[in-house]
Amino acid sequence: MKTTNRKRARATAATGIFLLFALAACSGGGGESPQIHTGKSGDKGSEQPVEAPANAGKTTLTFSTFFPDPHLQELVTQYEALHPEVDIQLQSVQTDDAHLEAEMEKFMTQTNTAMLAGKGPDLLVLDDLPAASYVKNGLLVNFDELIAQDSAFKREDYFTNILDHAKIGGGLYAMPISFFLHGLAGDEEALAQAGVEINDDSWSWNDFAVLSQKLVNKTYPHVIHTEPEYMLNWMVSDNLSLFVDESKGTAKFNTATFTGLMKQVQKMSEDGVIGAEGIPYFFPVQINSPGDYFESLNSFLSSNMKLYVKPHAQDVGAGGYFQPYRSIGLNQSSKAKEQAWDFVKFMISDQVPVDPNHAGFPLNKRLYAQEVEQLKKDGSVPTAKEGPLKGVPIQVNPDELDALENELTGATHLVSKFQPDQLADIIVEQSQAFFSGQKSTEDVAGLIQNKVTTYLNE
Amino acid sequence: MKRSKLLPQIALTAILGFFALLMSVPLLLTFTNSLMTETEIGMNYGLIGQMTDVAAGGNTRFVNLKLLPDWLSFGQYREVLILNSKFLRMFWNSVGMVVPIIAGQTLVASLAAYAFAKLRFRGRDKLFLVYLLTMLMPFQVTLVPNYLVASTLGLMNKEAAIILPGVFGAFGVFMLRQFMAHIPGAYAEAAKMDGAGEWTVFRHIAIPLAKPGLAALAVLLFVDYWNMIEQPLLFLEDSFKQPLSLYLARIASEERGVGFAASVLYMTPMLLLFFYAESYFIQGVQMSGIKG
Amino acid sequence: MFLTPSMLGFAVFYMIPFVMGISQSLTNRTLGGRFTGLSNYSELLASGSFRKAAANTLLFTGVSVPLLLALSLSLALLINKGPFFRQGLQTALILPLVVPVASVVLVWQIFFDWNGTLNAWLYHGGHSRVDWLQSNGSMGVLVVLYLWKNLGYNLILFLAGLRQIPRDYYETARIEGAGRWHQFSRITLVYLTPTLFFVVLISIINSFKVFRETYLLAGDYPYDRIYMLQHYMNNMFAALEIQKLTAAATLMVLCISVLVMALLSVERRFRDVLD
Repeated sequence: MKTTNRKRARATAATGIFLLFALAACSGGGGESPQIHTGKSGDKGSEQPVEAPANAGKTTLTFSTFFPDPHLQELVTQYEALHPEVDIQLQSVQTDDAHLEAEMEKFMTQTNTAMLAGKGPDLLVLDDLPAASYVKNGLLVNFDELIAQDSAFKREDYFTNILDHAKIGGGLYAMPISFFLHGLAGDEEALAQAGVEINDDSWSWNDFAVLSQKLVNKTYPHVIHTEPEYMLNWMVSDNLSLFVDESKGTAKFNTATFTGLMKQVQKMSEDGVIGAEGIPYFFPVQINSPGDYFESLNSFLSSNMKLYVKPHAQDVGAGGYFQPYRSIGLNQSSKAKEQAWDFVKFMISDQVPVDPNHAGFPLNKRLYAQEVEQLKKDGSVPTAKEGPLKGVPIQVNPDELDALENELTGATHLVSKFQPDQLADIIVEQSQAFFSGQKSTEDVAGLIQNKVTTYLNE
Repeated sequence: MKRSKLLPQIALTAILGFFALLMSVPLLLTFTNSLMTETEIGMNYGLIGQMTDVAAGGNTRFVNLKLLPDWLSFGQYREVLILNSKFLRMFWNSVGMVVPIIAGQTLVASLAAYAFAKLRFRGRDKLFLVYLLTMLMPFQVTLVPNYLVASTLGLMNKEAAIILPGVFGAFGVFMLRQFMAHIPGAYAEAAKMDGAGEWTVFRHIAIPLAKPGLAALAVLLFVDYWNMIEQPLLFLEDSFKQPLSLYLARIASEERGVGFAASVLYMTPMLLLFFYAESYFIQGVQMSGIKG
Repeated sequence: MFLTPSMLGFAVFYMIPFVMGISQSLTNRTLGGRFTGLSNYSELLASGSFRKAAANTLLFTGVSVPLLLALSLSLALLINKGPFFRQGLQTALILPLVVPVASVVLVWQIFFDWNGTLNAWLYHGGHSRVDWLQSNGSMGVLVVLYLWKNLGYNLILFLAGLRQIPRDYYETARIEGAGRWHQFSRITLVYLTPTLFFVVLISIINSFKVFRETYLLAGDYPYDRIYMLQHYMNNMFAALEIQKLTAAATLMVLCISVLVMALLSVERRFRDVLD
């Protein structure tokens, strides 16, 4: 009996090894996928030092982004032309509006899993990923450390306020190639006429609510162009400690304070402070480029527009708001970190100019200066034919350019913190039922309380 | 005598018929709606998930549940089958993965199930417990380890990354073991007395007796893997290779118009399989419990 | 020999990931983590949301699984009595199994949405609307969904299981003068034990799978009553909190395994009867 057992065990082991080989063989022999190259950077070439003539010949860097991006493709092409020994595979997801949500979910799951498994691309665009969670799990390289070690890197070439404030969890893990400015475009003259003085260095949403009472039905029918549920969310962010105690995991939305706030916002809506139709004093704007700055400030039907800093949430110091765009992360598990860092530096260098219309303000100050020079030389900004200005060009005012530069260097607050804002999602989604008149304040406040409590205690 | 049997049978049919009708409502709805035009669907169901303003009459407007289309239209089918090349490709992708899984798992599992049910060896029940426990683990937990296994074996983005785990799934082992447990030990012992080896017993006694189980297994495996979502989502990055289940995993509101027809087509292979396999569950038991 | 092929593949694709998953729950980080003992577990048990999720899941499974078992077993027995149109009835009962997730969600929305058909009926009957998935009735909606979706699954299993019971057992019993109840409890139930064991476990597993529909219907932070362990685990995965996720899953598996072992020992008694 014993011998047969042993025999059986040996036979089992042998079959096992055979099967494993068979598995490996058929997997190795499979054809390459015709469409997309996978994010698996298992290529032995990437372990070789850069200069060495590796057996695979080239250093391969994988670079993943959700949306296909011509600018990134351009950067890749130019870099590869300068460095023939490097092969950069830019991967993106082809999708359309109907499948965006499903594809996004899939992209997230795939990328999260690959990153956690220590695989994943060498470089990745973090704009649509939970980068803050990556940092917490130690999956990304801190660019601050690379910058400190790299004597060739000159911080003063860049908008240092962005480098300093695009940090997640105490380090620069997401290097933005460019950024947008968020603010309120407001009619300066009409505001002065109404006798309202704005100190946008420090104003808060509470201040905004107070002064909006003075503006209602003066020059313009509305004060701000938005929906009540967003206003509610801003007001909450301005009074966050009244509603949320993160360390204790408690929420206080089922209180008179919150239902009061809801009613206040509803009244703002009824009074016409908030309105999505008709002309307001303020438009929330996202400024994408120097040219866009002029177009945005002139396309809202008044020529006296000024860019104000967005009102501040609670406990937020002075300074404007910016949103990093095309933030690049470097995978901690990458086998070609040096090469990848070299490519990141190339991407934020002044070697490839950005498309002035939609690319955001470049992190690189010299690129920005080039854009400004070009604008001054042109003297005017063309506008979109189908836009409110009907293609009539706008004159460039050098003074306003200086004001813009002040805004850019004064932007110190991240708009999104590289993680989904569950609190805002819950408030905006649930309060719609109240503002449309479908549910009572108590019902909605109860639901928000419910969900936020769950979120805080997970 | 005859009448006293007829009445209960009518009552029985009525009870079951009631349940069957209730259960079929979503299905009928899917089918009839698949014959509506996209505009009609949009008009009927556009309000789903909306909070319309009460001031603008939002409290009096509802989704319009309609069983019969105003206009009989095959536009949805045309859209799905002819205009959208993706659908048919994904359909065949699904077939290409599900068929090998069923064949493989039925074979591998029937062998293993026989061992668990009828052979005696050390640690048998403990090993079986381990099989069971893995089935209970939520997929999120094994996502990262599975990814590592697949990428170590070089299976990423290949159909084998779906098929191989499918073939070795514990589901079939568990199920067939339960069905083989019915086989009385006396049968096998008698056969062995006649000089039959384990293989012969397996081949000529266990398998024929477990046939209803095998048929049920094939059907359930088909259903499970035809509907699978998580595995292909992770292991097949290439949208060219993805199965149909991902197409119907979620339908955006823009696509509601073709969703019904796509669903009907999606269900067809399973329906055919049911009609074919059902006779296996039916025969033999008829009337067994009620005579007398 | 019979086990070899299965065991090999099983070890590679299931055992290894299973063990790796559990071991994650004892570390502090997924890549290059340190062993931290049970600290993830104590953190987990301190989480109010986890406890709420566990309670809801227990309630949902505890109500819906027995309900499903009773319903599907009685329907299987009724079908076995041979009604008219047997094949047609049987097919109609099994069919919900094949409806794709997207359609299920859409149909449920048509009925249970804020603007849905049920609320339309309420409105025309002079009542105010109910946000079904945001109310205490939400779990009921899910129970119905679960029953509807899985009835066919269990029906197939029970029908196949019933078919395996040799008919002569019943004949012998009848000759011995056993009544119907006696036949049911001494023959049908006893010989159905292995099938029943399987169906119970699969029903539990399937009760976790309703998550996909729930998620599409009610999002990642649904109403309190239907916030289940699957939501918790899914949210933890999205936030890359793998340690909390694996700890939660391990605890869940441990709890079910107690049930599994109890079922196994009941089944062992059945086998002794048979051998």
